[in-house]
Amino acid sequence: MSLEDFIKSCDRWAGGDGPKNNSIISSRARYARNLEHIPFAPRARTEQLRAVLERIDEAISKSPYFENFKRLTVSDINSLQRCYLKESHLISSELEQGGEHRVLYISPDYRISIMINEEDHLRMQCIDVGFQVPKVLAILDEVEAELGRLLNFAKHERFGYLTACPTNTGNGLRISVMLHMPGLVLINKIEEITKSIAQYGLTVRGIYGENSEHTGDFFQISNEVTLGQSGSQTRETLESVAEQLLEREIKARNALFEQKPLIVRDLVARALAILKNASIIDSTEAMTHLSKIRLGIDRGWFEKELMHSDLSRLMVLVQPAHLQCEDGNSIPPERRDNRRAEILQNHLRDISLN
Amino acid sequence: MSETAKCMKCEKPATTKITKVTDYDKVMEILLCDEHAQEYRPYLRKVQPGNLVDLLQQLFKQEKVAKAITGGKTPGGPTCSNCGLTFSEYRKTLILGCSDCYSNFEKLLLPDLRRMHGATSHDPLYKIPVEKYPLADEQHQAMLPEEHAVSDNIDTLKQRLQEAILEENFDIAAKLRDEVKTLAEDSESQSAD
Repeated sequence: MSLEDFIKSCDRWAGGDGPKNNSIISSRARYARNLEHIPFAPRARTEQLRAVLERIDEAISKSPYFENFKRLTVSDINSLQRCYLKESHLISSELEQGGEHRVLYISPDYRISIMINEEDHLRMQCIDVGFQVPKVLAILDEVEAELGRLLNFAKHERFGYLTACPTNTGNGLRISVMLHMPGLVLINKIEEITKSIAQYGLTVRGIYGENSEHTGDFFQISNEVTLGQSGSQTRETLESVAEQLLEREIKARNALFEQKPLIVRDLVARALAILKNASIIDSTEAMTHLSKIRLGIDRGWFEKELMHSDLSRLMVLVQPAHLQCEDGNSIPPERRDNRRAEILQNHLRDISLN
Repeated sequence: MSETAKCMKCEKPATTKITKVTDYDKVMEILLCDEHAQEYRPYLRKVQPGNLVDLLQQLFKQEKVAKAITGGKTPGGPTCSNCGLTFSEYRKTLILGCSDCYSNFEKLLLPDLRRMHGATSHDPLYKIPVEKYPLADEQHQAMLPEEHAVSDNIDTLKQRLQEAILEENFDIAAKLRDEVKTLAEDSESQSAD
């Protein structure tokens, strides 16, 4: 498989249905770990970064667990491909910037990715569709245990696992759940919710994590606190809050339909009409309309023609790098919005409201 | 006694009381003024410190504490013996240099960790080892040989006072504050003779 083809297949973990995927799109867990004494990536000199990479490469090569993982050198991947990997949620915005001595390992099923020399020496993550926090955490724990067996992770008797940024020290664990909440956005409850989840030590971010916006009504909920809590405590808190948010989103969607059925019908119909007929559409507008379609799927207005997983897939396909990778080349911005409209028309040609 | 309670970290009047359970049976009541309460828990924050003056004041205070602990000898505060990062460099980016920085700066990191996580150790029941902090516990104090039990030097006492505040051992901090006061008054009356 060529590099090009491999990268294009990196969003395959997102195919298919996951539990509660009418609102919970994906679940992800990651650990941050570092080697002892060698400066953390932001402060390390080039030869030190190289040394870190060599040690980790050597450890991974010795382990049968990682035998079939694919190794990618970040500087060998062009910016469009890096953007694609970020859109597929396998790398962070930080790694998308590129950089020397940065390497990525990806599992054959595309669920596990290991980043070397991001902000920390090691960032390992596991992701899956729908609401599957225990599963991704269990797989991630296996990865962490195996890597920990081969390397000496920097640890302090008081502070636990040590990380470049003290915000990650302790268990170095970030669990996040990606929620799609068009209902709560429509009834203007988002701000209230954002404020109330802070008391659980959780935070809300946009679709690509730190520094991204809430485009398309996507909200990533993750834990902020990593010190003084065990991984299971973090998991329990996050799962419970995610369930509550899911419940509130479903209630919001139902309430909207019960109280204003015509308005909901109209919203969905207009969204579909624009998506099917526009010749030019930018990603923000496309996401905004696609988000409304979710409400229609819930009500069964598309029968089996359009499922929740189909919609989630479409919302990824309209992202800039996904758009361009279909053709295999960079498309100039003016042409991109036209291409996006074409793709939407192709996918929605036979879809209509029942 | 009709005196209003004072903040445990400074002399201002206390406006917030935080009850903290440290061991299975040990309950601590921490009295803090508005400013120190905001530092303590971001959730209690009423006003975001977007104000440049506030930020500078915080930085300045952190450096004062760093100076008190090192006796003000090194500019920039303590330095990591492994990677050379100075504490004031860390404060600018909030990113540490290497794993050794955590041991080198240990006590100075506590306020940041408390603000970020509401905790200063990964195990809530973590006990500070005796060697690191001889006055941590009255029991420890009783076990130590005479010469370690009390320090006569006012600078050492001031240093220990800052450490006690960082660790939030307020009973010890109160005792140390009294000792510092007594010694300061003694030396004043001596020089007056």
